[in-house]
Amino acid sequence: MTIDAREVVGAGFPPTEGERLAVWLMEQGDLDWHDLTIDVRRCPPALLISAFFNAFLQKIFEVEPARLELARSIKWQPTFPFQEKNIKEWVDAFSPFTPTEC
Amino acid sequence: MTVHIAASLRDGSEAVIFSDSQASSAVDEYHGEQKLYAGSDFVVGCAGSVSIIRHLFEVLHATPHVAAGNVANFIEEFLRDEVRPAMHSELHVLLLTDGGGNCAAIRQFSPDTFTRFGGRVDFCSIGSGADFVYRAIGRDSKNGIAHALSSLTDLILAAENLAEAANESLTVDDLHLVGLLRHRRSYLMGHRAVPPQFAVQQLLDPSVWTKVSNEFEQLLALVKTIRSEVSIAQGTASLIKTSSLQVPNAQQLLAASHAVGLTRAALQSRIDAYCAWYDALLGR
Repeated sequence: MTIDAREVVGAGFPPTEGERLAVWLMEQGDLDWHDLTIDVRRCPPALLISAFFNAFLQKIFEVEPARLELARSIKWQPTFPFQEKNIKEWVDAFSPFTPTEC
Repeated sequence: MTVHIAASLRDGSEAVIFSDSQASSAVDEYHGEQKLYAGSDFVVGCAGSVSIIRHLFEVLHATPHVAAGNVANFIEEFLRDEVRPAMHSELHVLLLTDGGGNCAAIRQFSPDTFTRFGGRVDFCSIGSGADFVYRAIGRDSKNGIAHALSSLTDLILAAENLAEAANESLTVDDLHLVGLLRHRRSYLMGHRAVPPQFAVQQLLDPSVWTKVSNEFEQLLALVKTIRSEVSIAQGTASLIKTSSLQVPNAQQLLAASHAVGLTRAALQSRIDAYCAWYDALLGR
């Protein structure tokens, strides 16, 4: 299944929008994350930065930690090849922190 | 109304100029106006009267022998011979030519005051949006935000960042033409809505301009990604104001720094690829 991210997120603060997308996904009870593509082609380039994806994965880790590895396997569909490369790098390198460390 | 933002390496070997496309009269405004002309080894950006700018570009375009070595004199003579003195205040010019390894690439010409181009500088902005540019630089400086200017990538990032600041002006738009000067060769690129009327023959082909603008769109996406990474990192760093910066925030800063490095490398590659493609297009 493919989801158009622009239907869920705005063009605001990237970490906030990343969290928003994570919360929305976790609220979709019948969504199969094993075969999920998120189309971000309509999102502005300034939104698709490391902070967006780190916040997305961090939120999933905080709410449903068991789904973190599944979240890493989500496919992303950006406009430009460099974005695809960047997203893979950020998702692979993401290391969650527990809020108690703060 | 206009903004031009030009930045050069100190040795003048590489430089960039961003130009918007808005033109205004007393009663209306329109977009897509060409205010940048790229010769083979120079770039000229003009602010002021659209009719004078168009005429200058037309004359430059029709005079093949104009090159970096004589373009300044050519423009000075154009003003003297073809524009009435009363209208000299209606034109401002920025010229980019190679600095020869000793000095920067940018020269400014204000015909309302001077009869010749001024000396070489490594940064200049002209047009109604220039006040916004210089205010942004001043604000950044006070906040300890430095603009690195040691590579063409740095120059492009700084100029785009300042063009964004100038876009706050009602008399400036965000549809840009961009001129690059690189090792005695000039390059033009820009938004699809600003196809040049006066340029090397190859760029006048609409299909070629579509390719150019697609490349420009990707380059801008890279630049905006970096700007956004930096902006978020600066926001994170500002937690220090309330003494609330924590270890996870420092990790976020490192992640952003890594992301910027990754994206800068991609930007550098796109610039190199574009220049190589452009050279091949022009057969040089």
